[in-house]
Amino acid sequence: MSLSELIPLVNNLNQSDTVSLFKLLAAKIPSAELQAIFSASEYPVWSPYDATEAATILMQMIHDDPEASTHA
Amino acid sequence: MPNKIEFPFVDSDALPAIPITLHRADFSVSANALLDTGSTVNLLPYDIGSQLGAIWEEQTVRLPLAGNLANVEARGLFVSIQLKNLEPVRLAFAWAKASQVPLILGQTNFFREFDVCFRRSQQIIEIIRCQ
Repeated sequence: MSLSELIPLVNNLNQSDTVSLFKLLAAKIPSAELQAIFSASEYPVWSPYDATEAATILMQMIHDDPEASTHA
Repeated sequence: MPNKIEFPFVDSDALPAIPITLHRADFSVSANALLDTGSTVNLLPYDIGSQLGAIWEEQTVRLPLAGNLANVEARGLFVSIQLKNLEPVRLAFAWAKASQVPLILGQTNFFREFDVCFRRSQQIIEIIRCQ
């Protein structure tokens, strides 16, 4: 049985059976991995990685500016 | 005028941030800047740009950012930076219209103007002005 076939069946379980299934699945997952799943949070990474268009525009700005350094 | 300086890592887990002084017109601001080799551009928080006397509406070069900053408006702004006793260097920044972002020195164009060596094992960041 595939996961896509299983999900509708799980969705139809009552609360008690859902909790039992959860305990069954949790027992199969290593505790470190389980801890990672439930402690997952979003951490903002502000670094503008891959802003290549912005870099290209800034380089053009530097080329057009007579006061800018010559390393552009 | 020297062309090479060193900064210490603040502690063994610290990201490579260095104290710099930013100059624009008659204004200057001291701040810690993150040396971010993964950033394509230099990034200037809005409040620092304001403290340097920049007027947002007067900056006409609009810059599309990426990642978590994709929704943050940014405009191009020239600012001179000084590292310790090195000669000031004029850099192009993406001035973000957000103040909760870090001051970042990135590939365009900080790393075009300076060679940087991260000697983490010795807790030293070496910065050399490109000739």
